[in-house]
Amino acid sequence: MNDHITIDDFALIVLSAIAMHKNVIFSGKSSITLESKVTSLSETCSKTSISKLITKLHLNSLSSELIKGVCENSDVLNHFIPLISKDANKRLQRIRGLNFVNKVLRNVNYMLIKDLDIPFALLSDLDLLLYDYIELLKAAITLENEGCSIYKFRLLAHPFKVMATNCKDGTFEIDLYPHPMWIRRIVAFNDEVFKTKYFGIRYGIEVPLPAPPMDFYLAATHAWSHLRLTLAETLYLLKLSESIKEEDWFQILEIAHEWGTLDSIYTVSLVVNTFSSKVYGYSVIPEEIIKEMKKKYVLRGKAEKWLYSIKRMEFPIRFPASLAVFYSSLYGFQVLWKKGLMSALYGVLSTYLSYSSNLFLKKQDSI
Amino acid sequence: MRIRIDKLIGWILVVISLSIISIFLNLFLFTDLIVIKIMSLISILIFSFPLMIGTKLIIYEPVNRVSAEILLRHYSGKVKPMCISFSGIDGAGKTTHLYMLSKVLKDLGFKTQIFWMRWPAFTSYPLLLLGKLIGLTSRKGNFIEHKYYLNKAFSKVISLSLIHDFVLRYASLKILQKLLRWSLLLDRNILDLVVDLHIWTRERLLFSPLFIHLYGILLKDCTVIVFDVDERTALLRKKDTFDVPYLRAKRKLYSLLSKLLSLHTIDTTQSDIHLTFTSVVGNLGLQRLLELYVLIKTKKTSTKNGV
Repeated sequence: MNDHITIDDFALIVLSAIAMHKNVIFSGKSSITLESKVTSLSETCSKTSISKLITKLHLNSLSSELIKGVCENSDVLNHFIPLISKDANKRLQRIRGLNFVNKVLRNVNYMLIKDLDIPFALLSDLDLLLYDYIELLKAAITLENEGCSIYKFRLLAHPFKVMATNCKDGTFEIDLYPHPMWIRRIVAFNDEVFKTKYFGIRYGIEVPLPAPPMDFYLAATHAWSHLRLTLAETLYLLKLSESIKEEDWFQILEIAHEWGTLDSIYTVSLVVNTFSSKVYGYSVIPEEIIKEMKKKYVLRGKAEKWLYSIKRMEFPIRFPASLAVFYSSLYGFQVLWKKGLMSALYGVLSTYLSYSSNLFLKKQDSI
Repeated sequence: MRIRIDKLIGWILVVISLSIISIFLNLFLFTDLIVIKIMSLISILIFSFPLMIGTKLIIYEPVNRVSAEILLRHYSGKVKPMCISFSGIDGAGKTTHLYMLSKVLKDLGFKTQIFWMRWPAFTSYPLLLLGKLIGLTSRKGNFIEHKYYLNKAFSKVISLSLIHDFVLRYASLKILQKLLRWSLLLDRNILDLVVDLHIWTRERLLFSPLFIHLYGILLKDCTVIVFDVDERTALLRKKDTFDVPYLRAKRKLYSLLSKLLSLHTIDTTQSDIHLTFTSVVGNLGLQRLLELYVLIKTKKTSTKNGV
């Protein structure tokens, strides 16, 4: 169905740079000669092309350190050293933050969420989901004891979502989430997420994480709430999809059905599958799962139509406002209504707030 | 309530500009003169700016620096008020533990109120006086002895009357709790009244399935813990209690009631007060609040010591 779609060269360059750096990100065999992309860029390595590449990398939550693998021209590279160092420092701060959190929040029941575990991922802050308000207060008190300053968020933010910064150990920021929620739209019960908790390794540190199916669900709904899917997110979702068993997909679908997030899961899955089939030659999310989603998601046709209309998959992929804002808010309201009027209203408000902020920042097409 | 000057200015701007806009809108809609129409439209456009600024001032919230303590206060104001009640014979440690619990909850920012629920008499006073006049109540040393069981009819009436008074008092407290968002800490409850009444009246009705069901309904929204203690230890702890057989009889009744209503019982005979308190908190499902309390205390101590 999506044979006509081509993949942005930028994505292929990133993929090949990552492949050269880490050997593999994803075990599938590439159907495209990735090395040739790096070589071709290396030959035309100029300040303008690298500057454009860095802008795109940042838009896709990736670090400019990646260019070291794609450009061998030392003059050009030297020009970008301050920028590369800045990104490297940002990544280093995040690792410091993770170390700090791991050390001080030992007695707190938390989980690291929205952590894109792929090489060169550039994430601004550490997002911690707390088991409940008591755990959040414990975390806030502990962090305050450790010299961090606690801040509350802006308009419409949950009264218990707080940010800790200026901690003694570094300049990192820690966001404490009382619920798995994007702005004010809750996408799952805390219990549902915490029952999947396991300890995984990130940057050599043992951290509590949601299991891959839940991680996929959170990453996909988060991307949808921001109305765009970055390359870092796509690669991470791809990586996660590989480790999700078929029965676990059904659990994701159940949660998505319950919380009115099937639209995000379905559309993101279509994108990930298209990307994987273009790059690696096969769909990473099983066909049965896609069929099951189709059965449950009424507006599937609109998502398919949008994907079909794309000729070139350019990252970050911007979801159409009609689908991710208008229809999504209607569908979300219809489902969340059963959970209470406030949940439904907050769901709609969150969608439109995200859309309007994107509009102000000129990141989104109009509906 | 603290008035935020930015919000106040915002509201003033919104109200004034909306009033002016509505005047010009009326002019625009109901006049035939094209000049006035144009002037009104321009005025509407001009006054929409202060309207926008005012709205922005009202809805805009900067990233506020807060302390964990503010968050804590916010939390305790949001959670559903609790109702906790302790039952048991005299000297079992109910009041001590209730005050300890109250201190913890108050330090965490909860609005707690302790109520002594042993003596609910309200409309029953005439009956109690009658009991005294017909010789069913007498003084025995320092204690007042009720022998209502000597008169069967009176036993039934006084039992029902005191239970009725308890229900009235309890219902009033529950209403107050809802209105004022109090966390209720009740020193004794219906069980203690039933035990006392049974000793005074020997009335079987008090343990009938219907009444047991009624006690269950009354205590539905309240977490009840029955404190148990060896009679001799109880006498050592509290000198003004009756004798061992009296306490033994009461213990049996408490044990029966806690079984019938599936309530938690905590034996306080042997253990250290802090251990018992931890166990009480655990049984109430509040151990994580206690952890939070310890964390706050540690923080306050280290701040005091300048660490």
